Amino acid sequence: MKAPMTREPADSVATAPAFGFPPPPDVLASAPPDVAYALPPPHHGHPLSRVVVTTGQVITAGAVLAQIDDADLHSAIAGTVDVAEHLITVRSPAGAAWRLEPEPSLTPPAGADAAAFAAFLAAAGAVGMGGSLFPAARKLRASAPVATLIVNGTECEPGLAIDRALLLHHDEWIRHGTDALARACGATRIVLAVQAAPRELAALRERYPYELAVMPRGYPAGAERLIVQLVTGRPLPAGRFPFQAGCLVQNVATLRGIGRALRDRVPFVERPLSLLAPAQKLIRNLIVPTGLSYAALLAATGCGFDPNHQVLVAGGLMMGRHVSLEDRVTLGTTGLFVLPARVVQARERACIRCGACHEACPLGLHPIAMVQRAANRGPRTRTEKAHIQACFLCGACAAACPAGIALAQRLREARQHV
Amino acid sequence: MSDHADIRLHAPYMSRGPSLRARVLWVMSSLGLLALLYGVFYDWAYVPRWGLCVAAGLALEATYLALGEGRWSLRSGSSAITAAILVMSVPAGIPLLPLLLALFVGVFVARMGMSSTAIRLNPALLARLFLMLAFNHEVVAWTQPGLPTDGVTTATPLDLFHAEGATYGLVPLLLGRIGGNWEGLYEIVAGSPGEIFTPIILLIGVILALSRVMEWRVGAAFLAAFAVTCALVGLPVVFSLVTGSVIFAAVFIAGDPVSTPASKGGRLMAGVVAGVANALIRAYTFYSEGIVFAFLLANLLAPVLDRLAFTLRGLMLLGQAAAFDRRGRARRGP
Repeated sequence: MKAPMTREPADSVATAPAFGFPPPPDVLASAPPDVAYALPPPHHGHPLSRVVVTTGQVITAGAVLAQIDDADLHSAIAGTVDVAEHLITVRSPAGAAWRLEPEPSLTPPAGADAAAFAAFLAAAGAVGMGGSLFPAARKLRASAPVATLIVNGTECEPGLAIDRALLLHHDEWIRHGTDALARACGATRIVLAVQAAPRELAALRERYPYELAVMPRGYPAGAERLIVQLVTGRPLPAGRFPFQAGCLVQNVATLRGIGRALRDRVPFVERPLSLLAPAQKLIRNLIVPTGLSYAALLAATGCGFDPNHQVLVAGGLMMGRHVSLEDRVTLGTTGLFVLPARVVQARERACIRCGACHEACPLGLHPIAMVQRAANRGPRTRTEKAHIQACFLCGACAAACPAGIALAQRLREARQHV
Repeated sequence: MSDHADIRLHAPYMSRGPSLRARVLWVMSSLGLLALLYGVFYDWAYVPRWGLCVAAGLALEATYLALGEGRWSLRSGSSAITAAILVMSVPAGIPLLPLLLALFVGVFVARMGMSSTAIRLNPALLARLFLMLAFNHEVVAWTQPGLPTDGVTTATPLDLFHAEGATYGLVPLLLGRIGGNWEGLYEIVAGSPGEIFTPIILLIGVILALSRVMEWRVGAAFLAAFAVTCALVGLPVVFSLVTGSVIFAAVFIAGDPVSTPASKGGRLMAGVVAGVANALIRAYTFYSEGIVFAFLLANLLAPVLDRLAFTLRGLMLLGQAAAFDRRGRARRGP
């Protein structure tokens, strides 16, 4: 009954998880010729980062490149530094391998309290690896003390499987990071939020001594707000943060990074991600150095790419963005998709008021009404504002629209007026 | 980088909505099944007649598009549904010419002409309204199908109930064959072909709703509101539900996603409006049934109901935020 009702692009990835039981992620073996990191642009004339290296300097892997507010920037490889205005490039000597164990460069946290742990997180460069890149140190300082720590292992972007692979195979690091963070923030309740098949749930119960919250299948179950709603039993209104509901939510890749920083003294220079090229039947979970160019990633994995007929999408199919070969892997890159260009083409037709977007919205909002009433001029009335602010731009409405209306894009524009 | 002009440079990069054509196919198979059943049990000639009307609906849609775009094509083929619903909601023996004229009105004015306007009328209902106004006699000429009965017309059980207060047992009503108890002369078949196989229609409706082909909120709210209103104004509830085209309308007319409101709340309210209106029309007017008026009223109110639902949801969001902040203040203390 269900089968004829879903319209997938012909050779797009299936919405269902692609791996039955995800294998452990492979570590990218060959050395990248260079890594590059963009620096945050100055804010109102004040630089947000302090570069601590100079052009020509030779550094070890894991060395600090720049001190950025609440999350330092580290180099993933050893090599020679080149500092440009907003970009730091590190070129590796030929033949060097990318090692997963950079020189231990971190000092362990001075104490178990929130302030000392936050300082450690800032020095390790810990940021939200679900894609937000929000500094973990800032989140901890804002949240502590907090009653509940939620481990977000709910990967809902269709096709991605990296969070599930980490949960199953990097559980030691994840447990270590989770327990330490729970101690630092004073959480007495630890909840692991997942969206997994029954077989995997059994494996997760063996590995984690935490309370398990199973999110419903489908997109966007992994949204922070929906997880907090499920765990606390109350919706989290727009503009309020999870800590106001007594929760601290961290992505599973972030917690893996924290565990690794604590145990192995390796800073945040590794990015676990899924690489998917449906046309070539290629799907892999990888751990790659940050700052790696997509061109180098594709070359290293032997994944072909035809710029005339294919496009690269980083992040995910629902909330990701179009990238070019020269762009770089950041700590927020959860996945890379090589898609046929015609899949991402869309022809927009007039709204027939079928209500598919209303049906798709996870928050029960009125997507097309928001767009029609508020897109061009911004929301005016109290209720229009409430709708626009509640929307977290998951894109479920736009994906469901049979007329191909770019609802997510319009809603993003409308939000800029708020 | 690439020579594709209209590559979408923003998320989402995938589409997973229901395909309109697949929906039309599912609904058409359901309606086709009902037409076939009527053919088997009563009158084989009805099947080609049904097929002819469906083909005429599609031809009208193609003609409309050809006039505008200069080439022959179909949009979603949903005019076939309009034609099927229309031909199943009028007496089986209605002359073909008024029927095709009404179909023309339905497809050209409502189905295609009102596409993407703020208010959309259900095309089958508009066509039937046209028939009721322009060919009043033919619409109520309930013939006895299956019998060589050119001149004999009978009333439906609902007409008899409305005029004389006659009621029937539930089982014959559900089976669609009523032993002759109107002057002991004729077997009475319950009205138009679409209205007869009530349990099967209901089953189809449940299947279509579960498989997300049809929208269920309007139909469910319609049936509930209709039953409650019937009870309040003193009509027999079960008899009212299984006579006339109540069930047929709840599945195939309320399930039209386009002419009903778009929002979930709006759809529930539209169902309530149609259900209450239909029960009141049955109880207090000289029409034995008012499906056309009830649902056209709901169609007309669609933008208002959508707006009302939008405001209510917004107020609910504001209320949730206020309650959340109150709890936060209580936790932190003064």
